[in-house]
Amino acid sequence: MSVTNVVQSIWILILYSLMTVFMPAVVMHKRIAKRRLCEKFLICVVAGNFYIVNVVFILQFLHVSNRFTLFCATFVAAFVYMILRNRTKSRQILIKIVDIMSRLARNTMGRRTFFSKCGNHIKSALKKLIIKIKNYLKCYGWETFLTLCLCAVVCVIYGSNGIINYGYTASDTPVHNYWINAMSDNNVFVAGVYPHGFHCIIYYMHAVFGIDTYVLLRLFTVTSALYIHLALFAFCKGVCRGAYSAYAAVFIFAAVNLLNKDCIIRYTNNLPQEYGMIFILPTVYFIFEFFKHQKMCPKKIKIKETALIVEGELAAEDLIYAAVSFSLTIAVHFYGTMIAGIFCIGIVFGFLIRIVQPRFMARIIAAFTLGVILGVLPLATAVIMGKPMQGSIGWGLSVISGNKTTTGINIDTSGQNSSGTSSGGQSSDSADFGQQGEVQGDAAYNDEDGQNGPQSVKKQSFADKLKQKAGVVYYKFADLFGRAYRNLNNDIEAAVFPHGGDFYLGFVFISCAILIIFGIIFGISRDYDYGGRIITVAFSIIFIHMMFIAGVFGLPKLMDQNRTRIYMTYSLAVLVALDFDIVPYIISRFINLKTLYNTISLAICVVAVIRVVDVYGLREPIVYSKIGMLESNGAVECLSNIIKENKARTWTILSANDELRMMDKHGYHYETLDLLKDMKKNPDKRITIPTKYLYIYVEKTPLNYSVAYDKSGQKVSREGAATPLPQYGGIVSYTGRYRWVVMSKMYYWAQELQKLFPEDVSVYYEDDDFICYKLVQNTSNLYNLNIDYEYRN
Amino acid sequence: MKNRMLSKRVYFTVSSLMMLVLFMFQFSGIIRKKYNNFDENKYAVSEKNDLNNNNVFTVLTDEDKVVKSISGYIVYIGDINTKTGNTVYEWCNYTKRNLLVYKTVSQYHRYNEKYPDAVLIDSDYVNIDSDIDTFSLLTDYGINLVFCTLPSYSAISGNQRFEQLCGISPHRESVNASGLKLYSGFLFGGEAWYTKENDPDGKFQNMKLTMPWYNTSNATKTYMSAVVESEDGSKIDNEDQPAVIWRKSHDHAYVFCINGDYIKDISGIGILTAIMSESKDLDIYPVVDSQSVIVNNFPMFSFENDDAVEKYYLRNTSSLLENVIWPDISNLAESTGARFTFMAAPQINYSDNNFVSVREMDYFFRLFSEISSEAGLTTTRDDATSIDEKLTADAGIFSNYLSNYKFTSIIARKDELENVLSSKNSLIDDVNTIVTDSQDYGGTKLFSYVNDNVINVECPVTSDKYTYSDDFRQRCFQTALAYTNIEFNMTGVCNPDDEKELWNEEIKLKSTALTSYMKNSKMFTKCSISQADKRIREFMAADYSYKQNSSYVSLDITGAQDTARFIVRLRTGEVENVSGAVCTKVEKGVYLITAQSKHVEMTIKTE
Repeated sequence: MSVTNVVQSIWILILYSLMTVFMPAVVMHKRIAKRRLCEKFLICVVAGNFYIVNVVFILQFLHVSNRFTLFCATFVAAFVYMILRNRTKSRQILIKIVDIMSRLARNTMGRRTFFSKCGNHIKSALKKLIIKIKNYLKCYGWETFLTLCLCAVVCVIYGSNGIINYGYTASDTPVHNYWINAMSDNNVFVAGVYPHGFHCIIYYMHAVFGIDTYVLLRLFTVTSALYIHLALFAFCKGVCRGAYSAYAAVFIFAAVNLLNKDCIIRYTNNLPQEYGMIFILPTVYFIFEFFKHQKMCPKKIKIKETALIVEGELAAEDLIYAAVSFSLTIAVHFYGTMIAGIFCIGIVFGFLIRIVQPRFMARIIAAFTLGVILGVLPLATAVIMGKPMQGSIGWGLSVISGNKTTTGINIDTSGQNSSGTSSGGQSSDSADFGQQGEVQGDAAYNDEDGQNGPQSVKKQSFADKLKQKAGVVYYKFADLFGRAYRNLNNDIEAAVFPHGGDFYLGFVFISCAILIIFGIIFGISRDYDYGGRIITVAFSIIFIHMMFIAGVFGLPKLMDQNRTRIYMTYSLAVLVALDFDIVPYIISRFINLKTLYNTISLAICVVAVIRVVDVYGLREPIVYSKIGMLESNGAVECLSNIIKENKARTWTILSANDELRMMDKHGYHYETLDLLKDMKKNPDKRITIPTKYLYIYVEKTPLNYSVAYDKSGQKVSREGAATPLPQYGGIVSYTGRYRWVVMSKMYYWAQELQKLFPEDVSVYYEDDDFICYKLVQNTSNLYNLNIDYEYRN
Repeated sequence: MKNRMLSKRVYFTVSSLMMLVLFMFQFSGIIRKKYNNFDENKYAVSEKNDLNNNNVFTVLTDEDKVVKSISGYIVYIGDINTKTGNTVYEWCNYTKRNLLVYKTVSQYHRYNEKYPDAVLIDSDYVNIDSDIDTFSLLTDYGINLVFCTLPSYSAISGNQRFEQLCGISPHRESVNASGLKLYSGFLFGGEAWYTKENDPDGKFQNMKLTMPWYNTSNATKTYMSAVVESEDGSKIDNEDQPAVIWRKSHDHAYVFCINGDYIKDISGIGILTAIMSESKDLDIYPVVDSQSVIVNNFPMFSFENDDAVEKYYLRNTSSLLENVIWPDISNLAESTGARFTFMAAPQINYSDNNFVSVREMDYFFRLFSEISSEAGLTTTRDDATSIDEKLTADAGIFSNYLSNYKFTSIIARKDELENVLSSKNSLIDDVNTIVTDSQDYGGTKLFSYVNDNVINVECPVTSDKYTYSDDFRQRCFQTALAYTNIEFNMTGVCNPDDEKELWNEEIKLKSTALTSYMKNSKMFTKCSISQADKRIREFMAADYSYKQNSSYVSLDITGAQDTARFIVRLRTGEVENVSGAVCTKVEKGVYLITAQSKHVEMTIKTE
């Protein structure tokens, strides 16, 4: 199964890359020919995703989405577009083919000649390809090697869990699975209107390439994590002058054990929020590029210079890409949009001088509007068509409006990574750790205010009043920032950087200050682009940190800290990259010798990486504990084999819950708790399941399902079986100790069933933690599953 | 192009080719005729063996001997002289088990040193109110109970403990079912639905469909159920239909129940065998592995009713036999793969002037030889002729024209058995097998020695027309013994009195029946009667024991025979690596083992 997982992961990565990178690259190769490689990559990723997401939306709304239509709308459309775009060449090729065919038909060309001609064509095409690859490697060989190494590191860190643990890692993945399954019936937004960009991508791969949705949701992790890091890398590469800053920054972010594991553990989940991160930085990057290209394009082109026209076109394209990328953040997950929005505010600071100019501002506002419209349009269409809003949208709005308590973070007092045994992305109860400081702070403020009260009776001069007011304001600000710092320090240490909050904050704020100072200096020296970029990044990072402790400033908590820290640390990598890039950039300003500043960049990066690795060590691959998983390996392996071995709709899985959505249309699902409750309630009722094969899943070591209890990891036992069934509905009965009770009862029920019908009940699969029984029954003569297994009541 | 004359070379070549073609067409016919030893019974020569009545396995019924014997045993609560008792006894004989018979449950003494394989109960000999404690005790000891018949509905419905023992809840005292459903995995041949849906005209339905209605409760497995249509037209689930054969699982043993008289018929041996297989993971039992078809009174060598044949078929008897009936029969033999045994009737009426047609006899014996069939004798004759007279007349004919042909079998009515055995005719000297019909299915034995050397083989099924009860019985015989012996009766075909009796109508019914009965036994060996005779003798002589150690099984065969055949039936897993025998998969979990040595070893691969 592990080998299968590896092969399937690679296959998924290849297919995804084909659809979102290579196909757009082929179709748009002329348009993006003049761009840098990192830009090409970002453009292709954004364009590919945008096209697929919206094609799926359109076909879903028309209720004609299936393999054929999706194939036509992507592959065939790309082919037709290519032909139309290269009409002359296509016509020539067509004429040549017709000529060869007619000659073949008239016997004026022998078969040998035909094959030798074909061979020559293939040979020359291969030669061209080899030359291209050689040229590419000559230009980018070293960088390609480094990039591949980086990819390998990311794959190892985020992909290892998929090889060792086969199940879903987030409790809400089955819900997304359900929504994607419904798309197979052209029922998009089955549970209400929700950003479905991620779902569209998974559905597309399922529908077109025939990969089961549950396999995609298990193994798309590697692809998703890789593209998140590649987007970060491409952004850094595009922004930095030095060749190695991006490598060092992404490497430190991904591979060094700097951050709390919870800040990155969600990259192992296949969820829209993480997938949406791919599109945050491209949005920012294309706005940067817009400023770069637009500045060279005058308001009205009086001098018809080609370069200026080209730059003008590029600027327009940049804005379109930025709009498209921004729309994708909306289409995939709103949290990504928020972070992109924060970066946009940073851009206002960074490019203040330009943005106030109408020709910049008007276009940016237009692009922003276009992005919003493109992103919201599918959702709005669905709402107009009568679909209600999905529950979590309402929840999100209530969080923003402050009516809902947000989820906090487990405070890890030991300073160690707290999620070693818990599932990533799973919410857990804890207090908002900013609250205590806030209360104390308020109290302090009131006290001070109270002390000032009686003194105000004394008559004061205007100057004194002013002085006093200034003092109060100063004090208030000092107090506010003092509190903010204290809270931030505590929270950072607990949830983001376990090695010391002071050090972290010192690094971040000093870095930001340096970037801002240098940004201003560069601005003064008329290097608006680079200066604007570093100021943008610096301000954006400050804003994200403010967002992290929004409560202290009395701002609405747009996002809970648990999630904010993921974006915070992600954008921190950009800060690190720019830190590494400052010196090479300054040198490049004086001596524009590529070899020189790249060598300096390499030296800085190597020293920094070695030092960071030396101090903090390398991060181990993220692997969940077995108990921390939401599904046992055996269960996933059984499901794969069951689907493979049996005809569709001839079998039922009797299990806790996850398989319900995973099996989709292959088979049927019967919930364990329904059976146990039914047996208890109606001892005389005949309970049958009308399929030939019935697979019974029992966890011998019941999983926690993200709710740990004092005897987590204990085996099923008679004690557990004798405990009354939990009376809760939904998922609660399958969590923690309750799951142990349910599984214990199921175990003894299945054992009894095997004892009663040994010829038809066999062990289909067994390992130390999981067992699957297989019941083969005659569909005309079904077994009564309501048996007295000693613990029925 | 030049106009050339036909050269000598071309002439020679064309002639050679024509000669070659002529030779090729004629060659096969000439060779077939030349080497067709139709006047010899090859089965009689090669298949004769020395096994006789002295080598037969005998069922022990003495308590001491039974307990000391290495063979397993069965306890039967009932009377051995009843039809049910007879079936139980014969089943023990076939499965090489000993038998202890008690008239009441209280008489039964449980030997702790050796428990029976099962306790079979005829409910006429038990009082469930007083015997329920014993039954419960037996199941606690891990002894399986088989209720060959059930107590009356009123007795059961008043006894909750018995209901729990059998896993039933009484529903209605009597119900008229419209059909029966036999589920797969019990008898060989898979699922069979003897229902109205499959037989809207009711042409095939002749099973007993009136029975008490019991619903099975939990921990039960139903093997056969009736089909009842609800009075209000609503659908009744299969699981709620009246159970006919089922099993209730208890902690240590099973209780099997049969709601009907199925064990009273000899075919009950199949049900008992299937029950025993259902009660354990591995079951090995000896079988005959023989499928034979006896064509009675065909062909006829004297044309005694030519006028009637001419009237109905517009052709003479010879033409009817050769050009109408034989092609159908040979096609049927080919399609079923059966090796027919033709019980030829040289004459029916020995007092008229219609003598045997030697040409016809020669013609058909050649055909028998070509399709690897065998010929036998028949006692069919006119009333005025005695068996001795008939045999004497036939001996005269055969000694003149088929002097080398050994007739090893004869078909007779059951009441003629003694006359045949006492006949001093030379034809009878070579006879090893007397085939009789089982008349009203009340036959008590499928085969047995009638003297030291001659065995009587019954035809428990006829192929006159397909019926559900015959299909069910056929499955029972296949399950118990991998054996069948079907009578294909041709009496009257050449003496038509009515258009309904004409061959074109008869063949439809007969072929439907024969192909249906034979289709479930494709893996078993098709035999002529002499081959079947040899296998039956080997089967009756065989005794065996087997041991299972985890996945390893060793089978030791005792007895005077050279070869023995067994069915290995597994609940789960597959047989692999068989040494000392040839193994053939019959169906899922069922294997036919043809032992080639006295010790067979095999391993079981579990799933």
